[in-house]
Amino acid sequence: MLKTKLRKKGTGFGVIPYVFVFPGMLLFFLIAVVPIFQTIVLSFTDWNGVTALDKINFIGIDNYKTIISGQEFMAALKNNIIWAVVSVTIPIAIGLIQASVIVNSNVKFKNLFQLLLFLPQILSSMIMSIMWLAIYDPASGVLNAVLEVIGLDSLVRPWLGDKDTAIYALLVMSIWMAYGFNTIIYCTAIRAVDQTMYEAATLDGANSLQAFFRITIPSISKTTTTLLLLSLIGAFKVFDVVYQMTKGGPGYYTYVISYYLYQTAFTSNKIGLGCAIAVLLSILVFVVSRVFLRLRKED
Amino acid sequence: MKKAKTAGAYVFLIISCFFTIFPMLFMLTLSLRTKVDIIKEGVLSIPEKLHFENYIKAWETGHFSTYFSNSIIISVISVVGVLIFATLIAYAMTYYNFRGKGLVNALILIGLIIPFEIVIIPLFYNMKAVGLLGTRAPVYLTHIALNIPFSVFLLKGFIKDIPTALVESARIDGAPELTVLRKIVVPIIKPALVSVIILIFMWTWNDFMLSNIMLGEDNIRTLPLGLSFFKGKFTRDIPLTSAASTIIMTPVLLVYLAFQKYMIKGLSMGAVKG
Repeated sequence: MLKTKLRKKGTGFGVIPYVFVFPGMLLFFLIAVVPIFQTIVLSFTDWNGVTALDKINFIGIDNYKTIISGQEFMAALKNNIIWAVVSVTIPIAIGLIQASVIVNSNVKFKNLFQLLLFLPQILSSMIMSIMWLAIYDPASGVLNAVLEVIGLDSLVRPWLGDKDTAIYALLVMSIWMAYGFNTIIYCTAIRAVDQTMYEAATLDGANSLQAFFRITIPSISKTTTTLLLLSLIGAFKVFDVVYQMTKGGPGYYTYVISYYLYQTAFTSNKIGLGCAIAVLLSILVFVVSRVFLRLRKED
Repeated sequence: MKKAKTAGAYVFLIISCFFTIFPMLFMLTLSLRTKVDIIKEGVLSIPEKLHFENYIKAWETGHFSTYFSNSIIISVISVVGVLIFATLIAYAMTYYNFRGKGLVNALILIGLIIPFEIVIIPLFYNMKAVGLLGTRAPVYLTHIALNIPFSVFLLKGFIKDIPTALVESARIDGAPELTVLRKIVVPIIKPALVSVIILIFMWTWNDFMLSNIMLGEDNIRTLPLGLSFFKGKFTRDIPLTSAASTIIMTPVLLVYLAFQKYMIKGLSMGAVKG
């Protein structure tokens, strides 16, 4: 329909389309497209960021071999996978439950609840990290203080310094950071569900739990898959929190791929190696989202 | 029965909200205490005296006014840049046929899926090579470029819904293309533009990784970055870092409270369309 109304090439508009498109696309091309190829090329070299470009040595797939055989990548990959499993389940479930309680119950102040639940979303990761560092602090953290008060002294520990708890401490924080976004999106989605379906269900004697599983969940499945995909991609790219809270430690217990990339390229100046990590991370994100979308289609 | 259910909903939501805002409240209490009194009395005690001087010290030692203006400059330039470029591209992609349109479409699609990590390393050295390192430009140029695809995608969805007759009749009346865009298209897609403004502003304002890599000098650092360096300097002084965070958080909270309707709507629109 729209297509037939479009003017054919060169019918009166001349250079206008190019004037409109060119500046933005040129900037995008220089900043987002050219570096992709540079990253791929550099990933086969041993460049250190300093030596002249004509002295760069091509070393084949050595960087990739180094990464795959090193302990950093495997440790990081494992943590990213744990991160992904947690972030596609708990924050989405919490968001869904909160949203359906807000929308489908008779509570007042619905806007206030939404407002408060969404609050962490507007904060920068640095501020959130300072909050949670204070909560987990071994000496003056509120978590240890509360455990002592309620008599669970045996659980008191340096949560971020203990190799058994560090990753879970970060995950609890990441859940807190994430669910409010899902809640708000789900609120919008659930409000769009045909209300007469709920009325019909009530007339048929269904309780609210049945309505939730039989009406709400199936009606908003598209929103769910969108949120799942966003969380999944986010989990493989997580960086800020690790950088600000634990620097990957203790040992490699909270190490993640993008922190590995950052350290390799910007702290150790191993540009070639860093680019290879970037390529692997991108392939990983790409494959995971493709597989996910494939699964969604089959459903 | 119904009353009990509503009561249950209240309990659940109040607990949820408490858990959500607790870290903020805890940080607020810490910001009014001293290191010594926290260690001596314990964090759960009620302090005898509130130490507002933490705020003065944080403000005086933190260079936060510099960081604040850097954040404003970078976010405003990024938002304006994205708005102009993305609106022009979205308009052209909807109303014109031109050679290379397929290529532009393909680039936009690539832009929607590539992770930022695949460009950041060479980008840093490119910025260095052209002499932009040491200025704010690498950050806002990158923000603009990387946010164009998403914004074009979002805006195109709205421009497509405008009746073609509206645009055609303006053209027949002899209105130049830029006027058609400004006077007819922009007013209609205003909600989408607002949502782009809010999203891009939030993303650029809160960005950490890109700024951390590109902004080495202290006088061009943004707020999150400045706070990170402040924390590095005063790691063990939790009251002071809490006061600094509260100072930085306050304007953001006020903006959120003032524009929450638009922000929540903008975000949902972005997520649902994008």
